[in-house]
Amino acid sequence: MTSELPNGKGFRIAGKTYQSRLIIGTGKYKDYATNAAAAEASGAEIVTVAVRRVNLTDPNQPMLMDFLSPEQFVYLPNTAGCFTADEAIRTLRLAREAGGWSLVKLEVLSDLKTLYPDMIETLAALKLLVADGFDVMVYCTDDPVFCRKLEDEGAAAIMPLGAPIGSGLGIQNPVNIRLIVEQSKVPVLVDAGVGTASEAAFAMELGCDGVLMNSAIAEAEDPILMAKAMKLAVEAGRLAYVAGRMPRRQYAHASSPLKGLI
Amino acid sequence: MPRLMINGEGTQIKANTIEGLVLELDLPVNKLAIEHNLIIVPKSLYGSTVINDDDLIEIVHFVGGG
Repeated sequence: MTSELPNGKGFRIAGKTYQSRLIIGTGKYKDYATNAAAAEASGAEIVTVAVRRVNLTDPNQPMLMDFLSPEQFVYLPNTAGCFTADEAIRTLRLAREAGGWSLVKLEVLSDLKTLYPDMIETLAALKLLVADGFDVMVYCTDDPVFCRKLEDEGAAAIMPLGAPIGSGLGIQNPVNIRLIVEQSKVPVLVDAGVGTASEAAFAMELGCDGVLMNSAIAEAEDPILMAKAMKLAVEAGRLAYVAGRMPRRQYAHASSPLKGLI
Repeated sequence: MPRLMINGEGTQIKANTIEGLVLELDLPVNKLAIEHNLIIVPKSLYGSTVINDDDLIEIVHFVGGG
């Protein structure tokens, strides 16, 4: 992977280096203050955000930017809730106008039950967004063939789901995630499906460059503690991947020497 | 006094430009984006973008999301 830096620390997305390989969402928290504390504990440098109508009847409602400063965190606007390429492009153009950033997360969904990505619409949107100057991180299926097409069309990062959004089921198809990691020259991040720390570490041990999660932290009983756990898990998984695991064996292999046994 | 749709709600405002609308609604300009009849209005054009009856306006900002 070209995203690998020599010291095993940090990775690059769209020309910028990040030390943290954990990207977190900002949805589902009980309030923005908890969200901000969790973001701090996670060590994340990038947070995903959604684009929605301003509440004009109550303009004094708390605003995300007042708790998670765009000076401190890179905002990654998403297209959650978009079911067509047109909706997604419209949303991200508004996001760029609101924030001035070109790094975005594209997700075009198929149905509410699975929130599975519609890859035909996703690919169509990607082409138009790249032509329009966006750096696009793409939420996608774990189909290596489609992931290759996304990379060919200029995706800044490939982000296959580990399991359906918000399911917390863990990495359901490690074989495919591994294939996608091996073939990709841009960063690969598991996006969605991680439920607990071991699953984040597992994603990283497969060689992913990073993990994006929201529910696993936001829905934990103690989101701030879970954010810390995820930080450590992503770091541990990365180090284990870089270190290279021992071979698997069918039978025991003694660790203490047999020679000199009394 | 244009009658128009803002964020999906029918309403009447005094302002006749986007700049006037932003002032009238007391909106934090640096935290949002505005679409006027499906076209994004750059902040530099707020003053010269005229609002008419039946216009469609969307005002969006960033909220928590995954």
